[in-house]
Amino acid sequence: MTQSIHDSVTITGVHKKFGDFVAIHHASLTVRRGEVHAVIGENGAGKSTLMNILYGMFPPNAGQINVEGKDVSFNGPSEAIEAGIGMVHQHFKLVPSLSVAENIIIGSEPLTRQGLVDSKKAEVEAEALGRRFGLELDPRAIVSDLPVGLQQRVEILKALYRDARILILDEPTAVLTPQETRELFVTMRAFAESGRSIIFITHKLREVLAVADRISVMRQGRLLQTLDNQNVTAQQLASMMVGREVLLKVKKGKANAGETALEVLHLRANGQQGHAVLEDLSFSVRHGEIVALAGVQGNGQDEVVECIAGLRRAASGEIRIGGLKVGANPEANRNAGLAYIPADRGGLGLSLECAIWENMAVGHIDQFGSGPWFSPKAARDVCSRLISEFDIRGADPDKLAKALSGGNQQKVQLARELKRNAHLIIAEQPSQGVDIGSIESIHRTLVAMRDAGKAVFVVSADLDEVFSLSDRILVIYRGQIVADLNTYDTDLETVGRFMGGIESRTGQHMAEGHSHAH
Amino acid sequence: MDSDLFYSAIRISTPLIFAAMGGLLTFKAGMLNIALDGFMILAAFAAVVTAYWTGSLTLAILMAMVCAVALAGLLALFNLRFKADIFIAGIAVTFLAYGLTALLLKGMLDEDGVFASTKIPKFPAIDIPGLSHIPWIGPALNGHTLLVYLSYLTVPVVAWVLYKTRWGLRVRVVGEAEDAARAAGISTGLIKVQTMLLSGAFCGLAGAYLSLGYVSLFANKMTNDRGLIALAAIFFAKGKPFPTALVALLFGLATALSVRLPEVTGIAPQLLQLIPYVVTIIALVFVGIRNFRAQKRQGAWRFDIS
Repeated sequence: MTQSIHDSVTITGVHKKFGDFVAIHHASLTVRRGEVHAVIGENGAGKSTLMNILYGMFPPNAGQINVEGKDVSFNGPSEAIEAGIGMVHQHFKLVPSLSVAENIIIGSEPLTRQGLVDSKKAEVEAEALGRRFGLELDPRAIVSDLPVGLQQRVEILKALYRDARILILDEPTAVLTPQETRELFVTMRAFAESGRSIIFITHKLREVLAVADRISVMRQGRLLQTLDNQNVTAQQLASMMVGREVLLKVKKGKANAGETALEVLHLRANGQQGHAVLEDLSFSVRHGEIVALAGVQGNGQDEVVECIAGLRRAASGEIRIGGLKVGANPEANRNAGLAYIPADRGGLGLSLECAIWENMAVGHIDQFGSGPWFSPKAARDVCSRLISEFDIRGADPDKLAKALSGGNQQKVQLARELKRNAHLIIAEQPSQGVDIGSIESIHRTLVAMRDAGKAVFVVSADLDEVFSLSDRILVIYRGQIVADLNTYDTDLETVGRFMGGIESRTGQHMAEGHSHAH
Repeated sequence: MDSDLFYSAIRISTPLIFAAMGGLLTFKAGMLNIALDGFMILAAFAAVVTAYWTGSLTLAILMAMVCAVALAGLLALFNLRFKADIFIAGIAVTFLAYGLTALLLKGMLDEDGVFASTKIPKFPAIDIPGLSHIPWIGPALNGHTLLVYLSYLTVPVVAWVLYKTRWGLRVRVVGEAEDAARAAGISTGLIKVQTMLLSGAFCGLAGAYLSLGYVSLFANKMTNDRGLIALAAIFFAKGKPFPTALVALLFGLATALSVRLPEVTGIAPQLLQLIPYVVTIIALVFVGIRNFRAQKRQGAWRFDIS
């Protein structure tokens, strides 16, 4: 491939293997100066791997990389940074106990004449940089005190401080409200117009269409093609990513809500640092409806679910599952009729080092065998049945759970939990790290559960999922439910405003009738 | 209370402070270095042998530091290059040092258990002019040997290095968020090796002081788990340099008390020798309660997923 002066990055025939697994198949990609270039693909398609190679995190097995006219081969991120590449990782690489300024300068610290870290200069420069790019921040603030949206600014400023001319953003909008996302897009466009290049990694198609100049599609480690962002639709992109026609929205009828299945009253709870995270939070979920809890990550969603699942002790308040008062005892809560599908599949949900049949048997071991004896055969038989019932691809009872893709691991959790015949189902980030094909079937399963009269409570950071799945949307902001909306009467914009705390009022379903003046 | 007690406490705390500062550097870089005792015992032996043969205290200190740094290098090699668990590798290195010093004691000096000789030179006491005239404090602070003063000087130096220099900032970043350090282009392996080697150097000083300053002899396992007590001090002080030194001094005071009290009170010395260990246990119980309280405040179940 020939390099023109308009190109800032040219990747030619890059190939990467991890053991026997080919993560990248001879991918080629050109990023022009001054463009926002989206790289899209499903989880595991190789987007992040390709970018990590560009950022020098690991070397490719074959292929060339050319940055601003020079052939490069990086031994580690420091050399990539030197060449003008900056990366904002999906999982922030920040030091929580240090200040904003300190985080920005790590690795290229300004020094005084005596060779000490010049914290004064660091603060002044961090502040000036923020002002210049419209990303204002208090340089002395401690990073762990900042909300995630601002932590992301620190990451971006960190790259800019190193004079990044090519900025890689890995799933940057996952932690933002729609309004914050729009602000980020304005910043991204401004960078591009100043002659920098932005590589925007995402799987959210709506966002790609809104901000990108060109779009490269990856599937199973291959870079399929690069398109101009003209006359393309989300549906076309989705089909290209998955390799077949997909339904972006699950089909479902009207909800037929009945009795209350879950009731949370005046719940208060503390977070990891011992500070109050949930403040007087009340809501309920009825049989036959899907209620989604929307909110920016870190506003108390995790704690609400942990309290309901019995994994966290509430400071005060009451939780009732099927009318039964429950406390901090996971077993009792499950016996009261709870099925819980946690977001942390590898930690809370499954034991990845155990076989699939073992994972499926956990929680209902009593059903297999009699007395003190356990019958692995019975457990394996049930497992085989569930594998076909839930269409878990590539599964076999004796395979280890870690051999499955994220989507199929999710189906294992789902199968195990739904088999319990519980009347309340809590699904936390059901489509996180799950391929589009599996999202479709997981959503269908949850809707089927609703139609079978079960109460479904979904916690999701993905507003597309919230809207496609739910009948009712609760918005959580700083540990309080600030909105209770009927999905069919509201829109993305409104929910986004509540998520960002811009608007707050109580809806018609709130347990309490008070309303907040805005 | 008399100033003699504090004089002893300062003396007794010296090896603890050296070891704690060494352990603190690796602690800050995210490594739990449980081989401090191993580094110290090897240094103590090297110091005695060198002093006995050459008569030079300077050479003895240098040799002690070289040996301890070499052992630290071995631990770094096991842990960072061959990816051995630092806890297991640390135990292995410590046992290696205990065994090696006992073997060399027999092989080089033909002694079992203990080696002492009048040929081993002693550190001169340093008389700071005017200090001894200050009532009470003077006699406690004056008349120590060089290494004692040096150990207390390392505390502000370590604090300054960790919190003011670029290297110190990088050490703290590596310890707290290794991913962040790597993404910022910091060579995390290099930082870890450097702190480990420095930890060896500090333990070299601690060992040399033990066998040449505190007493003038070498005995098998003479570090008496001071390395572990130093680690306890680091944990108790949550890895802050000055509080760590203060806690080390407290342990020293407890030990000094256990030596002095039998003379004063007539209680069985065996009983009073328990004091430093009881203090350690109380300190660790305190840390445990502190952690438990913090957990209770969160109210969450702890899942140990690594």
